[in-house]
Amino acid sequence: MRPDDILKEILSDPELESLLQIDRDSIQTARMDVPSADPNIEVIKSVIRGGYNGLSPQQTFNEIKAIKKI
Amino acid sequence: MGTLIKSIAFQNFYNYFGTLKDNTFTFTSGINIISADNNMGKSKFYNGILWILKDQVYDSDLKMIQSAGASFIKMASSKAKSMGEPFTMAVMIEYSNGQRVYEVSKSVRFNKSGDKWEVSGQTVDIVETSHGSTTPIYDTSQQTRIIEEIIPTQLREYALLQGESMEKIVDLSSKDGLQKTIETLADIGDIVKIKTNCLTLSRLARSLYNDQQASNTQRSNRSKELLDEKATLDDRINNHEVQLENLNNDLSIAKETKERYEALIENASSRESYRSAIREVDAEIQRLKETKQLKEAAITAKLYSDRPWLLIGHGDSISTFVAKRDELVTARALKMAQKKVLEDPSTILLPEGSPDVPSLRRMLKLERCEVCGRPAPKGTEPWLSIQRLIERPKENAPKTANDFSRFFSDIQISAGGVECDNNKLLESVASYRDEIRAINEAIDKKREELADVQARFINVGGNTNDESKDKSNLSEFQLANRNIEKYTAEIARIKEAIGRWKTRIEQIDAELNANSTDSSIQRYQDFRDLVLCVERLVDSAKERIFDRILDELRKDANEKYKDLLKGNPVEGGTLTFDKQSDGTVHVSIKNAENGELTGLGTGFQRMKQLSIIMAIISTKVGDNRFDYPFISDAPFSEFGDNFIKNFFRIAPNVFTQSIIMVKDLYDVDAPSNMNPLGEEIYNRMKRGEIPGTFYINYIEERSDVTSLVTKTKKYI
Repeated sequence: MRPDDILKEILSDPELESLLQIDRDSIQTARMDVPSADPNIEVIKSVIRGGYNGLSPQQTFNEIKAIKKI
Repeated sequence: MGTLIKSIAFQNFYNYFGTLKDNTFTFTSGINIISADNNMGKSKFYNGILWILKDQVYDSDLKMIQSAGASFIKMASSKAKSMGEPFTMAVMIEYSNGQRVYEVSKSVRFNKSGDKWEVSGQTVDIVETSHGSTTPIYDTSQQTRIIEEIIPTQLREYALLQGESMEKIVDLSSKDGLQKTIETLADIGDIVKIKTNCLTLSRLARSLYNDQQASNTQRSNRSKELLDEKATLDDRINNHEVQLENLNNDLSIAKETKERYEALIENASSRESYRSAIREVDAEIQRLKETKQLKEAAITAKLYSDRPWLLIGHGDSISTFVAKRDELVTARALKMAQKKVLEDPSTILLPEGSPDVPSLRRMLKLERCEVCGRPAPKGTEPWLSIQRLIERPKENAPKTANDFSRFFSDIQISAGGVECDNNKLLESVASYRDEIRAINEAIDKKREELADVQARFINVGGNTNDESKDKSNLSEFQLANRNIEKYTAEIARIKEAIGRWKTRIEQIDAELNANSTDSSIQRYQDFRDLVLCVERLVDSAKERIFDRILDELRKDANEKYKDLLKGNPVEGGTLTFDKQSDGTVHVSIKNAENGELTGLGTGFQRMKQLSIIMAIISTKVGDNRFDYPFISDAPFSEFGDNFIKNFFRIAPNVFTQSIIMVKDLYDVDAPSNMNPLGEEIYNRMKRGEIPGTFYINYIEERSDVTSLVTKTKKYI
């Protein structure tokens, strides 16, 4: 599966909105190669990219920490 | 995506003696049949493919897969070895992926050293052809990728199979079997990797939060106590999660074992009832045979005991004999008398009705002839004549014994009895014969019944030696059941404990955070929860894709199953795919009432497996089609003609290309080496109704099994 398909599948979760409070617009326009205004979508994309590109979980963790400014 | 095998060639490989050119099979899309009898190179052909794809071969002596390297000497043509000269053994597969054509070959060189053969290391040669130019591929990782492309590893279990080991290959309950295959079909390998990463990310986020919490918390004794407790609980949770993972694996294995033995156990009770039915019918046949023997003995006794049975039906001859005998006796007496008179003229011949001696004495006494009524005074000529009659010489009866008279009389006596009893005897024999006929019919009926029970017995996996096997299967099944109970209880206990510890951690968090001096802890907590959420989202995305593929498989496999069963009088039920809580998939056959259909024979079980294989091979996911060759050695063992015909009807729609090694179409005595079913399939191929090729292997010279040389005829 291509990363965009995985992203689409994850964002099609019926519970997504209630779990992460992501607005519908951001969900519909989300693409791997286009930065999203929603940091949570960026976190999801970072997790997908990390797995897809074979990054170590620690590298991905640092990346999502940076996105969430932790 | 997908590949098409264009040709496979062998050089001095098992029975395939000679060069690659001598032993080349060219293939097309559709069904490619290699029809051959036993020992004519079917499994050897299959082994050639195994060598290229997996560096393995199936050793039919050991009945197991062996590494090719350990089997080179066995794999080499005996005829090539018998010539004593150095030679090369090789297999080559030529395939296309739609853009490029590859020739993949593996070879080894044999050199004789004294009495022994020295085998060189294996050489892998790959040549790529693209747009008319050829390029040799030397890079080993590229070579591996090209070989992998022929049939991807995850699909080999299904695309490359041997009929006899189908049950093992299509391990439908195995966690690493169907589940992994569905993951491959759905191409969710990456999402599974992402999911695994998420587990670590969650742990890292939790750990980060805990550290932050510890550093922000007021240094009171109470806080220290709570942090220590939380750390202990976290450790416990981590340890128990590992335990949980292990237990889930153990549970899967126990379930697999149970599944495997459950089918055998179900059949074991059926087999036991069939065994006893076979014994009963056998005993009944034996009893009928004994009764028949008694009836036959009774007929013999009737015919032989004091009855000249040879005379039966000769009643008329007896009266003819009596008349002829009287005639003979009269004629004989007359002839004797005439002879006497001629010899002695004084011989007195008394006419019929002449007086007897007492009458003559009375006439002398009364001096009167009672014949003529005239007086015959004493001393006169008439009186003296009467006296001479009395005193005439008395001859004894002829000394020649009337043997015939005695003999014929005996026959007459016996035959008379027979003649009297003849009808009765014939009626009696006829009645016995009727009874014997009825017994014969009963025996035939019982034999049919026996054949039916035996067929059912075989259908549930029965053979005469498996009584003790059934017992060991039962104990394995019981053990697996006990393990499932044990692991399930343990998993429930651990889950409950983890839940409890998590609740306690939430309480601790709430208390610690309430006393926290730094409000930033909330951000860490949110971050931890976010990572946890992402983990859940990834997990459910993976499950949704998995379920969609499972649904596709369910639908597709049932279509194939129904197609394969077409024309079969037995209701085959519906295939169901139930996903288990541990991720495994349980496949069963259910009847119309949704009850599990058990007792179906090996043929049906294999059809179930083949339907699933067909569904897996032909499943389309999005734009992807898993378009790889289906290669099978003896897929039809245990199947009847109807199923084989159905397979040939369906297969071209399922597999873009299949290569089938089969003996069910072969007839060694037919000039074409095809049996009627083979002829039928061949004619359908010739008419273009079934696309593909049709090869027949044969042996030109009879020889020892180890020196056989297989030749090939291409019919289509």
